[in-house]
Amino acid sequence: MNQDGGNGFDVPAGDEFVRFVFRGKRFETHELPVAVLPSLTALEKLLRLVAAAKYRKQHELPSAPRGFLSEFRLILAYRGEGSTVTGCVAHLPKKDAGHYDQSLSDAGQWLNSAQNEAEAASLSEEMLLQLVRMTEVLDEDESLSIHQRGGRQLVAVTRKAHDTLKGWRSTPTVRRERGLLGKIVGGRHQEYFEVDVPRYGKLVKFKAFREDDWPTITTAMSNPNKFEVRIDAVVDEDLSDIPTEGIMAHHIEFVDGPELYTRLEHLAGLADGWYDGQGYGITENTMQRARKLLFRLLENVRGLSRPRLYPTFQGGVQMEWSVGTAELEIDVQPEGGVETAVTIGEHDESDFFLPGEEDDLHHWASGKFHELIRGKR
Amino acid sequence: MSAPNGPRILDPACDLHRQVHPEQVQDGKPTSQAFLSSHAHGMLLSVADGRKRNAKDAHEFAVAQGLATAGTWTVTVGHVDGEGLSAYEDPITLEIATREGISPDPAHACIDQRQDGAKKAARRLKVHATRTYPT
Repeated sequence: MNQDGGNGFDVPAGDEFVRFVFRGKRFETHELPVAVLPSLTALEKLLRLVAAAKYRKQHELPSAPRGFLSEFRLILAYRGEGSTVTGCVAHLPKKDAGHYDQSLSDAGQWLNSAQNEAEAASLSEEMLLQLVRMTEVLDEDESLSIHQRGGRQLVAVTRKAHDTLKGWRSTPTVRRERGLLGKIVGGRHQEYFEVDVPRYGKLVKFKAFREDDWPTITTAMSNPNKFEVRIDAVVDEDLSDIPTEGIMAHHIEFVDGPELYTRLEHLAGLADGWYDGQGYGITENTMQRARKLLFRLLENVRGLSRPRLYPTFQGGVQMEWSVGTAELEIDVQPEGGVETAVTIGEHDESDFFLPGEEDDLHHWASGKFHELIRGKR
Repeated sequence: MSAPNGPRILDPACDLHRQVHPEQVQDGKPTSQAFLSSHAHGMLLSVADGRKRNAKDAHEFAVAQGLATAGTWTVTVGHVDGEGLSAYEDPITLEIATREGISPDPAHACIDQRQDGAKKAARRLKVHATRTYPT
Protein backbone atom coordinates (compact mmCIF):
# COMPACT_ATOMS: atom_id res chain seq x y z
CA MET A 1 0.00 0.00 0.00
CA ASN A 2 1.29 3.41 -0.89
CA GLN A 3 1.41 6.32 1.42
CA ASP A 4 0.62 9.67 -0.08
CA GLY A 5 2.74 12.42 1.38
CA GLY A 6 1.94 11.40 4.90
CA ASN A 7 -1.69 12.33 4.46
CA GLY A 8 -2.90 8.93 5.47
CA PHE A 9 -3.97 7.66 2.10
CA ASP A 10 -3.99 3.93 2.27
CA VAL A 11 -5.02 2.87 -1.20
CA PRO A 12 -2.71 2.52 -4.14
CA ALA A 13 -2.53 5.90 -5.83
CA GLY A 14 -3.54 4.45 -9.20
CA ASP A 15 -6.78 3.06 -7.79
CA GLU A 16 -8.10 6.38 -6.61
CA PHE A 17 -10.96 7.55 -8.80
CA VAL A 18 -11.93 10.80 -7.13
CA ARG A 19 -10.84 12.75 -4.06
CA PHE A 20 -12.90 15.28 -2.15
CA VAL A 21 -11.05 17.85 -0.08
CA PHE A 22 -13.27 19.78 2.32
CA ARG A 23 -11.94 22.96 3.90
CA GLY A 24 -13.45 25.17 6.55
CA LYS A 25 -14.06 25.37 10.29
CA ARG A 26 -16.16 22.22 10.42
CA PHE A 27 -13.23 20.26 9.07
CA GLU A 28 -10.48 21.74 11.20
CA THR A 29 -11.26 19.21 13.91
CA HIS A 30 -10.12 16.48 11.57
CA GLU A 31 -13.49 14.82 11.43
CA LEU A 32 -15.81 14.09 8.56
CA PRO A 33 -19.36 15.15 9.37
CA VAL A 34 -21.89 12.65 7.99
CA ALA A 35 -23.87 15.67 6.80
CA VAL A 36 -21.46 16.04 3.86
CA LEU A 37 -21.81 12.46 2.65
CA PRO A 38 -24.79 13.31 0.38
CA SER A 39 -22.28 15.23 -1.68
CA LEU A 40 -20.59 11.96 -2.55
CA THR A 41 -23.78 10.06 -3.27
CA ALA A 42 -24.93 12.93 -5.47
CA LEU A 43 -21.71 12.68 -7.46
CA GLU A 44 -22.19 8.95 -7.89
CA LYS A 45 -25.71 9.49 -9.26
CA LEU A 46 -24.56 12.32 -11.48
CA LEU A 47 -21.77 10.25 -12.99
CA ARG A 48 -24.23 7.45 -13.79
CA LEU A 49 -26.54 9.88 -15.55
CA VAL A 50 -23.81 11.53 -17.58
CA ALA A 51 -21.98 8.31 -18.44
CA ALA A 52 -25.27 6.75 -19.57
CA ALA A 53 -25.89 9.70 -21.90
CA LYS A 54 -22.39 9.29 -23.31
CA TYR A 55 -22.89 5.57 -23.79
CA ARG A 56 -26.20 6.14 -25.61
CA LYS A 57 -24.58 8.67 -27.85
CA GLN A 58 -21.58 6.52 -28.67
CA HIS A 59 -23.58 3.39 -29.35
CA GLU A 60 -26.63 5.17 -30.75
CA LEU A 61 -28.92 3.24 -28.48
CA PRO A 62 -32.02 4.49 -26.69
CA SER A 63 -30.65 3.36 -23.32
CA ALA A 64 -27.44 2.17 -21.71
CA PRO A 65 -27.39 -1.49 -20.66
CA ARG A 66 -28.28 -2.15 -17.04
CA GLY A 67 -24.85 -3.54 -16.22
CA PHE A 68 -23.13 -0.39 -17.42
CA LEU A 69 -24.96 1.55 -14.71
CA SER A 70 -25.25 -1.02 -11.91
CA GLU A 71 -21.61 -2.05 -12.03
CA PHE A 72 -20.49 1.49 -11.29
CA ARG A 73 -20.13 2.24 -7.57
CA LEU A 74 -18.10 4.75 -5.64
CA ILE A 75 -16.52 3.28 -2.55
CA LEU A 76 -15.39 5.48 0.31
CA ALA A 77 -11.94 4.01 0.63
CA TYR A 78 -10.11 6.20 3.06
CA ARG A 79 -10.04 9.44 4.89
CA GLY A 80 -6.92 11.48 4.72
CA GLU A 81 -5.28 13.10 7.68
CA GLY A 82 -7.44 15.78 9.23
CA SER A 83 -10.60 14.04 7.99
CA THR A 84 -10.96 16.72 5.36
CA VAL A 85 -9.68 14.52 2.61
CA THR A 86 -12.05 11.84 1.42
CA GLY A 87 -10.92 9.48 -1.26
CA CYS A 88 -13.04 7.15 -3.30
CA VAL A 89 -12.18 4.24 -5.48
CA ALA A 90 -14.68 3.19 -8.10
CA HIS A 91 -16.03 -0.12 -9.24
CA LEU A 92 -16.27 0.40 -12.96
CA PRO A 93 -18.11 -1.55 -15.65
CA LYS A 94 -15.93 -3.86 -17.72
CA LYS A 95 -16.83 -2.10 -20.95
CA ASP A 96 -16.68 1.61 -21.79
CA ALA A 97 -15.45 2.52 -18.31
CA GLY A 98 -13.76 5.59 -19.78
CA HIS A 99 -17.16 7.27 -19.98
CA TYR A 100 -17.10 7.56 -16.18
CA ASP A 101 -13.75 9.36 -16.16
CA GLN A 102 -15.02 11.72 -18.85
CA SER A 103 -18.22 12.26 -16.88
CA LEU A 104 -16.20 13.25 -13.84
CA SER A 105 -14.35 15.82 -15.97
CA ASP A 106 -17.69 17.14 -17.24
CA ALA A 107 -19.00 17.45 -13.70
CA GLY A 108 -15.87 19.40 -12.78
CA GLN A 109 -16.43 21.77 -15.71
CA TRP A 110 -20.06 22.39 -14.79
CA LEU A 111 -19.18 23.09 -11.19
CA ASN A 112 -16.45 25.42 -12.35
CA SER A 113 -18.95 27.31 -14.52
CA ALA A 114 -21.27 27.60 -11.56
CA GLN A 115 -18.49 28.83 -9.30
CA ASN A 116 -17.53 31.47 -11.87
CA GLU A 117 -21.16 32.35 -12.52
CA ALA A 118 -20.64 31.48 -16.16
CA GLU A 119 -23.38 30.58 -18.62
CA ALA A 120 -25.51 27.64 -17.54
CA ALA A 121 -24.51 24.30 -19.03
CA SER A 122 -27.02 22.12 -20.90
CA LEU A 123 -28.17 19.74 -18.22
CA SER A 124 -31.19 17.61 -17.57
CA GLU A 125 -33.25 18.31 -14.49
CA GLU A 126 -31.87 15.23 -12.75
CA MET A 127 -28.26 16.16 -13.49
CA LEU A 128 -28.82 19.68 -12.22
CA LEU A 129 -30.45 18.33 -9.06
CA GLN A 130 -27.40 16.20 -8.29
CA LEU A 131 -25.06 19.16 -8.77
CA VAL A 132 -27.19 21.19 -6.36
CA ARG A 133 -27.04 18.35 -3.82
CA MET A 134 -23.29 18.08 -4.18
CA THR A 135 -22.82 21.71 -3.22
CA GLU A 136 -25.61 22.25 -0.72
CA VAL A 137 -23.58 20.56 2.03
CA LEU A 138 -21.21 23.53 2.10
CA ASP A 139 -21.61 26.34 4.60
CA GLU A 140 -20.59 29.93 3.87
CA ASP A 141 -16.99 29.61 5.02
CA GLU A 142 -16.33 26.24 3.46
CA SER A 143 -14.97 24.96 0.19
CA LEU A 144 -14.78 21.67 -1.57
CA SER A 145 -12.15 20.78 -4.11
CA ILE A 146 -12.50 17.72 -6.28
CA HIS A 147 -9.52 15.86 -7.66
CA GLN A 148 -9.44 13.13 -10.24
CA ARG A 149 -7.01 10.29 -10.81
CA GLY A 150 -3.44 11.35 -10.34
CA GLY A 151 -4.44 14.09 -7.93
CA ARG A 152 -5.22 16.74 -10.55
CA GLN A 153 -7.66 19.26 -9.17
CA LEU A 154 -10.77 19.50 -11.29
CA VAL A 155 -12.53 22.26 -9.46
CA ALA A 156 -12.82 24.09 -6.15
CA VAL A 157 -16.28 25.29 -5.21
CA THR A 158 -17.84 27.28 -2.40
CA ARG A 159 -21.41 28.04 -1.44
CA LYS A 160 -21.40 30.51 -4.32
CA ALA A 161 -21.52 27.63 -6.81
CA HIS A 162 -24.57 26.28 -5.04
CA ASP A 163 -26.34 29.64 -5.27
CA THR A 164 -25.53 29.86 -8.98
CA LEU A 165 -26.74 26.31 -9.62
CA LYS A 166 -30.05 27.06 -7.97
CA GLY A 167 -30.54 29.79 -10.55
CA TRP A 168 -29.82 27.52 -13.49
CA ARG A 169 -32.70 26.07 -15.44
CA SER A 170 -32.52 22.53 -16.69
CA THR A 171 -32.24 22.05 -20.41
CA PRO A 172 -34.54 19.27 -21.46
CA THR A 173 -32.99 19.23 -24.90
CA VAL A 174 -29.60 19.61 -26.45
CA ARG A 175 -29.26 21.56 -29.66
CA ARG A 176 -26.91 20.22 -32.28
CA GLU A 177 -26.15 19.93 -35.96
CA ARG A 178 -26.92 16.51 -37.42
CA GLY A 179 -28.37 14.60 -40.32
CA LEU A 180 -31.88 13.17 -40.32
CA LEU A 181 -33.29 10.50 -42.57
CA GLY A 182 -37.03 10.44 -43.07
CA LYS A 183 -40.16 11.11 -45.06
CA ILE A 184 -41.75 14.51 -45.41
CA VAL A 185 -45.39 14.02 -44.50
CA GLY A 186 -46.76 17.55 -44.30
CA GLY A 187 -45.98 21.20 -44.78
CA ARG A 188 -47.11 24.63 -45.81
CA HIS A 189 -45.23 27.06 -48.03
CA GLN A 190 -43.13 29.57 -46.08
CA GLU A 191 -44.41 28.16 -42.80
CA TYR A 192 -43.24 24.68 -41.89
CA PHE A 193 -42.73 21.08 -42.91
CA GLU A 194 -42.90 17.87 -40.92
CA VAL A 195 -40.64 14.90 -41.32
CA ASP A 196 -41.39 11.43 -40.11
CA VAL A 197 -38.15 9.86 -38.81
CA PRO A 198 -38.89 6.12 -38.66
CA ARG A 199 -35.68 5.29 -36.86
CA TYR A 200 -36.97 7.06 -33.77
CA GLY A 201 -40.69 6.85 -34.48
CA LYS A 202 -40.78 10.64 -34.25
CA LEU A 203 -42.41 13.44 -36.21
CA VAL A 204 -40.06 16.43 -36.33
CA LYS A 205 -41.35 19.85 -37.33
CA PHE A 206 -39.18 22.50 -39.00
CA LYS A 207 -40.33 26.09 -39.16
CA ALA A 208 -37.11 27.36 -40.66
CA PHE A 209 -35.71 26.13 -43.95
CA ARG A 210 -34.28 27.49 -47.17
CA GLU A 211 -36.78 28.73 -49.71
CA ASP A 212 -34.73 26.93 -52.40
CA ASP A 213 -35.62 23.62 -50.75
CA TRP A 214 -39.38 24.11 -51.06
CA PRO A 215 -39.62 22.29 -54.47
CA THR A 216 -37.83 19.31 -52.91
CA ILE A 217 -40.19 19.40 -49.97
CA THR A 218 -43.33 19.46 -52.13
CA THR A 219 -42.07 16.59 -54.30
CA ALA A 220 -41.16 14.56 -51.22
CA MET A 221 -44.53 15.30 -49.68
CA SER A 222 -46.36 14.13 -52.80
CA ASN A 223 -45.19 10.55 -52.24
CA PRO A 224 -43.41 10.07 -48.92
CA ASN A 225 -42.85 6.36 -49.48
CA LYS A 226 -41.04 7.01 -52.73
CA PHE A 227 -39.09 10.13 -51.89
CA GLU A 228 -37.14 9.63 -48.73
CA VAL A 229 -35.02 12.62 -47.76
CA ARG A 230 -31.88 13.36 -45.84
CA ILE A 231 -31.82 16.67 -44.03
CA ASP A 232 -28.80 18.53 -42.70
CA ALA A 233 -30.23 20.45 -39.81
CA VAL A 234 -29.94 21.99 -36.41
CA VAL A 235 -32.28 20.08 -34.13
CA ASP A 236 -33.14 19.89 -30.48
CA GLU A 237 -32.65 16.42 -29.02
CA ASP A 238 -33.57 14.96 -25.72
CA LEU A 239 -30.79 13.46 -23.66
CA SER A 240 -31.22 10.15 -25.46
CA ASP A 241 -30.25 11.95 -28.68
CA ILE A 242 -33.75 11.57 -30.04
CA PRO A 243 -34.75 14.60 -32.10
CA THR A 244 -37.63 16.54 -30.60
CA GLU A 245 -37.80 19.69 -32.68
CA GLY A 246 -36.33 20.95 -35.91
CA ILE A 247 -34.70 24.34 -35.58
CA MET A 248 -33.26 24.98 -39.04
CA ALA A 249 -33.01 22.74 -42.11
CA HIS A 250 -29.90 23.78 -44.05
CA HIS A 251 -30.06 21.28 -46.85
CA ILE A 252 -32.60 18.74 -48.05
CA GLU A 253 -31.89 16.06 -50.62
CA PHE A 254 -33.59 12.96 -51.95
CA VAL A 255 -32.03 9.70 -50.95
CA ASP A 256 -32.13 7.49 -54.01
CA GLY A 257 -32.13 3.76 -53.87
CA PRO A 258 -34.33 0.90 -52.85
CA GLU A 259 -36.82 1.20 -50.05
CA LEU A 260 -35.01 0.73 -46.79
CA TYR A 261 -37.34 -0.05 -43.92
CA THR A 262 -39.37 -2.73 -45.68
CA ARG A 263 -36.17 -4.42 -46.77
CA LEU A 264 -34.65 -4.35 -43.30
CA GLU A 265 -37.83 -5.83 -41.88
CA HIS A 266 -37.78 -8.51 -44.55
CA LEU A 267 -34.17 -9.48 -43.83
CA ALA A 268 -34.86 -9.66 -40.10
CA GLY A 269 -37.64 -12.14 -40.83
CA LEU A 270 -35.53 -14.59 -42.86
CA ALA A 271 -35.39 -17.96 -41.16
CA ASP A 272 -32.64 -20.57 -41.28
CA GLY A 273 -32.85 -22.37 -44.62
CA TRP A 274 -33.83 -19.28 -46.63
CA TYR A 275 -31.42 -20.34 -49.41
CA ASP A 276 -33.17 -23.43 -50.81
CA GLY A 277 -33.07 -25.13 -47.43
CA GLN A 278 -29.63 -23.81 -46.54
CA GLY A 279 -28.29 -20.44 -45.39
CA TYR A 280 -28.58 -19.03 -41.88
CA GLY A 281 -31.16 -16.51 -40.70
CA ILE A 282 -29.92 -13.17 -39.37
CA THR A 283 -29.90 -12.75 -35.60
CA GLU A 284 -31.36 -9.63 -34.00
CA ASN A 285 -27.90 -8.70 -32.79
CA THR A 286 -26.50 -8.74 -36.32
CA MET A 287 -29.51 -6.80 -37.62
CA GLN A 288 -29.04 -4.19 -34.91
CA ARG A 289 -25.36 -3.74 -35.76
CA ALA A 290 -26.20 -3.41 -39.43
CA ARG A 291 -28.98 -0.86 -38.79
CA LYS A 292 -26.80 1.21 -36.51
CA LEU A 293 -23.95 1.39 -38.99
CA LEU A 294 -26.26 2.07 -41.91
CA PHE A 295 -28.25 4.88 -40.32
CA ARG A 296 -25.15 6.52 -38.97
CA LEU A 297 -23.73 6.62 -42.50
CA LEU A 298 -26.93 7.74 -44.18
CA GLU A 299 -27.46 10.52 -41.68
CA ASN A 300 -23.94 11.80 -41.90
CA VAL A 301 -22.85 11.46 -45.52
CA ARG A 302 -24.37 14.02 -47.83
CA GLY A 303 -25.25 12.59 -51.23
CA LEU A 304 -25.18 8.97 -50.10
CA SER A 305 -27.90 6.78 -51.58
CA ARG A 306 -29.68 3.98 -49.79
CA PRO A 307 -27.78 0.73 -50.28
CA ARG A 308 -29.01 -2.52 -51.66
CA LEU A 309 -29.28 -4.95 -48.76
CA TYR A 310 -28.74 -8.68 -48.98
CA PRO A 311 -28.57 -11.59 -46.56
CA THR A 312 -25.38 -13.61 -46.64
CA PHE A 313 -25.30 -17.38 -46.58
CA GLN A 314 -23.63 -17.28 -43.14
CA GLY A 315 -26.32 -15.09 -41.51
CA GLY A 316 -24.79 -11.67 -42.13
CA VAL A 317 -26.05 -8.54 -43.82
CA GLN A 318 -24.30 -7.22 -46.89
CA MET A 319 -24.82 -3.62 -47.97
CA GLU A 320 -23.82 -2.61 -51.48
CA TRP A 321 -23.62 0.81 -53.06
CA SER A 322 -22.85 1.80 -56.63
CA VAL A 323 -21.25 5.24 -56.69
CA GLY A 324 -20.28 6.23 -60.21
CA THR A 325 -18.13 3.38 -61.47
CA ALA A 326 -17.28 2.23 -57.97
CA GLU A 327 -18.90 -0.61 -56.05
CA LEU A 328 -18.68 -0.41 -52.28
CA GLU A 329 -19.60 -3.31 -50.03
CA ILE A 330 -19.97 -3.59 -46.27
CA ASP A 331 -20.51 -7.10 -44.95
CA VAL A 332 -21.75 -7.15 -41.36
CA GLN A 333 -20.80 -10.63 -40.26
CA PRO A 334 -22.63 -12.65 -37.63
CA GLU A 335 -19.46 -13.30 -35.64
CA GLY A 336 -19.11 -9.56 -34.96
CA GLY A 337 -16.60 -8.39 -37.57
CA VAL A 338 -17.27 -6.21 -40.57
CA GLU A 339 -15.58 -6.64 -43.94
CA THR A 340 -15.46 -3.76 -46.38
CA ALA A 341 -14.50 -3.67 -50.02
CA VAL A 342 -14.24 -1.14 -52.80
CA THR A 343 -14.06 -2.16 -56.43
CA ILE A 344 -13.30 0.40 -59.13
CA GLY A 345 -12.52 -1.12 -62.52
CA GLU A 346 -9.55 -3.42 -62.00
CA HIS A 347 -8.81 -1.92 -58.58
CA ASP A 348 -10.08 -3.88 -55.58
CA GLU A 349 -9.29 -3.18 -51.96
CA SER A 350 -10.75 -4.73 -48.85
CA ASP A 351 -10.44 -4.26 -45.12
CA PHE A 352 -11.69 -5.89 -41.95
CA PHE A 353 -12.89 -4.27 -38.74
CA LEU A 354 -13.11 -6.12 -35.46
CA PRO A 355 -15.89 -5.69 -32.90
CA GLY A 356 -15.19 -2.50 -30.98
CA GLU A 357 -13.79 -0.73 -34.03
CA GLU A 358 -17.15 0.71 -35.09
CA ASP A 359 -15.92 4.29 -34.91
CA ASP A 360 -12.93 3.44 -37.11
CA LEU A 361 -15.26 1.70 -39.53
CA HIS A 362 -17.60 4.68 -39.67
CA HIS A 363 -14.66 7.00 -40.18
CA TRP A 364 -13.28 4.83 -42.97
CA ALA A 365 -16.61 4.40 -44.73
CA SER A 366 -17.73 8.01 -44.50
CA GLY A 367 -14.32 9.14 -45.75
CA LYS A 368 -14.49 6.70 -48.65
CA PHE A 369 -18.02 7.76 -49.56
CA HIS A 370 -17.12 11.46 -49.45
CA GLU A 371 -14.20 10.72 -51.76
CA LEU A 372 -16.28 8.65 -54.20
CA ILE A 373 -19.24 11.04 -54.21
CA ARG A 374 -16.96 14.01 -54.79
CA GLY A 375 -15.29 12.10 -57.63
CA LYS A 376 -18.65 11.36 -59.18
CA ARG A 377 -19.58 15.04 -59.17
CA MET B 1 -18.68 -32.68 -53.72
CA SER B 2 -15.10 -31.78 -52.96
CA ALA B 3 -13.54 -31.54 -56.43
CA PRO B 4 -14.84 -31.08 -59.97
CA ASN B 5 -15.33 -34.36 -61.77
CA GLY B 6 -14.57 -33.12 -65.26
CA PRO B 7 -11.83 -31.36 -67.19
CA ARG B 8 -11.06 -27.67 -67.05
CA ILE B 9 -12.97 -25.58 -69.59
CA LEU B 10 -10.39 -23.79 -71.68
CA ASP B 11 -12.47 -21.90 -74.23
CA PRO B 12 -12.48 -18.27 -72.98
CA ALA B 13 -15.63 -17.54 -74.99
CA CYS B 14 -17.62 -20.26 -73.26
CA ASP B 15 -20.59 -18.86 -71.31
CA LEU B 16 -21.19 -19.91 -67.74
CA HIS B 17 -24.76 -19.39 -66.53
CA ARG B 18 -25.34 -18.73 -62.86
CA GLN B 19 -28.80 -18.89 -61.25
CA VAL B 20 -29.18 -16.11 -58.71
CA HIS B 21 -31.44 -16.57 -55.69
CA PRO B 22 -34.22 -13.94 -55.41
CA GLU B 23 -32.88 -12.80 -52.02
CA GLN B 24 -29.61 -12.02 -53.74
CA VAL B 25 -31.13 -9.54 -56.16
CA GLN B 26 -32.33 -6.12 -55.19
CA ASP B 27 -33.29 -3.26 -57.44
CA GLY B 28 -32.41 -5.56 -60.35
CA LYS B 29 -28.81 -5.95 -59.20
CA PRO B 30 -27.23 -9.11 -57.84
CA THR B 31 -24.96 -9.11 -54.83
CA SER B 32 -21.40 -10.37 -55.08
CA GLN B 33 -22.55 -13.07 -52.65
CA ALA B 34 -24.38 -14.61 -55.60
CA PHE B 35 -20.99 -15.34 -57.17
CA LEU B 36 -19.41 -16.71 -54.05
CA SER B 37 -19.64 -20.35 -53.15
CA SER B 38 -19.73 -21.53 -49.56
CA HIS B 39 -17.92 -24.19 -47.58
CA ALA B 40 -21.22 -26.08 -47.56
CA HIS B 41 -20.78 -26.35 -51.33
CA GLY B 42 -17.07 -27.18 -51.19
CA MET B 43 -16.25 -23.64 -52.44
CA LEU B 44 -17.28 -24.74 -55.93
CA LEU B 45 -19.73 -22.30 -57.49
CA SER B 46 -22.39 -24.07 -59.54
CA VAL B 47 -23.00 -22.83 -63.06
CA ALA B 48 -24.37 -24.28 -66.27
CA ASP B 49 -21.99 -24.96 -69.15
CA GLY B 50 -23.09 -22.62 -71.93
CA ARG B 51 -22.04 -25.10 -74.60
CA LYS B 52 -24.63 -27.54 -73.32
CA ARG B 53 -27.43 -25.29 -72.07
CA ASN B 54 -28.43 -21.72 -72.87
CA ALA B 55 -29.43 -19.06 -70.32
CA LYS B 56 -33.17 -19.66 -70.70
CA ASP B 57 -32.89 -23.42 -70.43
CA ALA B 58 -30.56 -23.07 -67.45
CA HIS B 59 -33.18 -21.01 -65.67
CA GLU B 60 -35.98 -23.39 -66.54
CA PHE B 61 -33.91 -26.35 -65.45
CA ALA B 62 -33.35 -24.74 -62.03
CA VAL B 63 -37.04 -23.93 -61.65
CA ALA B 64 -37.90 -27.51 -62.53
CA GLN B 65 -35.57 -28.65 -59.74
CA GLY B 66 -37.59 -26.56 -57.29
CA LEU B 67 -34.78 -24.06 -56.77
CA ALA B 68 -35.60 -20.41 -56.14
CA THR B 69 -34.10 -18.26 -58.87
CA ALA B 70 -34.54 -14.66 -59.96
CA GLY B 71 -32.87 -15.32 -63.30
CA THR B 72 -29.67 -16.20 -65.10
CA TRP B 73 -26.54 -14.08 -64.91
CA THR B 74 -23.76 -15.01 -67.27
CA VAL B 75 -19.99 -14.69 -67.18
CA THR B 76 -17.48 -16.21 -69.56
CA VAL B 77 -14.60 -18.57 -68.92
CA GLY B 78 -12.37 -15.66 -69.98
CA HIS B 79 -13.73 -13.61 -67.05
CA VAL B 80 -13.13 -16.49 -64.70
CA ASP B 81 -9.58 -17.06 -65.93
CA GLY B 82 -8.94 -13.32 -65.74
CA GLU B 83 -9.70 -13.35 -62.03
CA GLY B 84 -7.26 -16.16 -61.37
CA LEU B 85 -9.94 -18.83 -61.07
CA SER B 86 -10.70 -21.87 -63.18
CA ALA B 87 -13.93 -23.29 -64.55
CA TYR B 88 -14.50 -27.02 -64.85
CA GLU B 89 -17.01 -29.33 -66.37
CA ASP B 90 -18.69 -31.00 -63.44
CA PRO B 91 -21.52 -33.17 -64.75
CA ILE B 92 -23.81 -34.68 -62.17
CA THR B 93 -23.94 -38.25 -63.30
CA LEU B 94 -26.65 -40.71 -62.39
CA GLU B 95 -24.33 -42.23 -59.82
CA ILE B 96 -23.59 -38.87 -58.14
CA ALA B 97 -27.24 -37.87 -58.34
CA THR B 98 -28.33 -41.06 -56.63
CA ARG B 99 -25.68 -40.75 -53.94
CA GLU B 100 -26.45 -37.11 -53.14
CA GLY B 101 -30.19 -37.18 -53.64
CA ILE B 102 -30.22 -34.63 -56.44
CA SER B 103 -31.12 -34.72 -60.12
CA PRO B 104 -28.66 -35.69 -62.84
CA ASP B 105 -27.35 -32.70 -64.78
CA PRO B 106 -24.94 -33.26 -67.64
CA ALA B 107 -24.56 -29.48 -68.16
CA HIS B 108 -23.45 -28.81 -64.60
CA ALA B 109 -20.14 -26.99 -64.33
CA CYS B 110 -18.40 -25.13 -61.57
CA ILE B 111 -16.05 -22.28 -60.82
CA ASP B 112 -13.35 -23.37 -58.41
CA GLN B 113 -13.09 -20.90 -55.50
CA ARG B 114 -11.09 -23.04 -53.14
CA GLN B 115 -8.06 -20.77 -53.10
CA ASP B 116 -7.58 -17.52 -51.13
CA GLY B 117 -9.20 -14.42 -52.51
CA ALA B 118 -12.53 -16.03 -53.35
CA LYS B 119 -14.48 -13.02 -52.09
CA LYS B 120 -12.48 -10.64 -54.21
CA ALA B 121 -13.02 -12.89 -57.22
CA ALA B 122 -16.75 -12.95 -56.48
CA ARG B 123 -16.85 -9.15 -56.45
CA ARG B 124 -15.08 -9.09 -59.79
CA LEU B 125 -17.41 -11.73 -61.27
CA LYS B 126 -20.39 -9.62 -60.20
CA VAL B 127 -18.97 -6.71 -62.17
CA HIS B 128 -18.54 -8.92 -65.26
CA ALA B 129 -21.89 -10.71 -64.98
CA THR B 130 -24.72 -9.83 -67.34
CA ARG B 131 -28.31 -10.73 -66.88
CA THR B 132 -29.17 -13.03 -69.77
CA TYR B 133 -32.55 -14.45 -68.75
CA PRO B 134 -35.13 -13.07 -68.40
CA THR B 135 -33.82 -9.94 -70.07
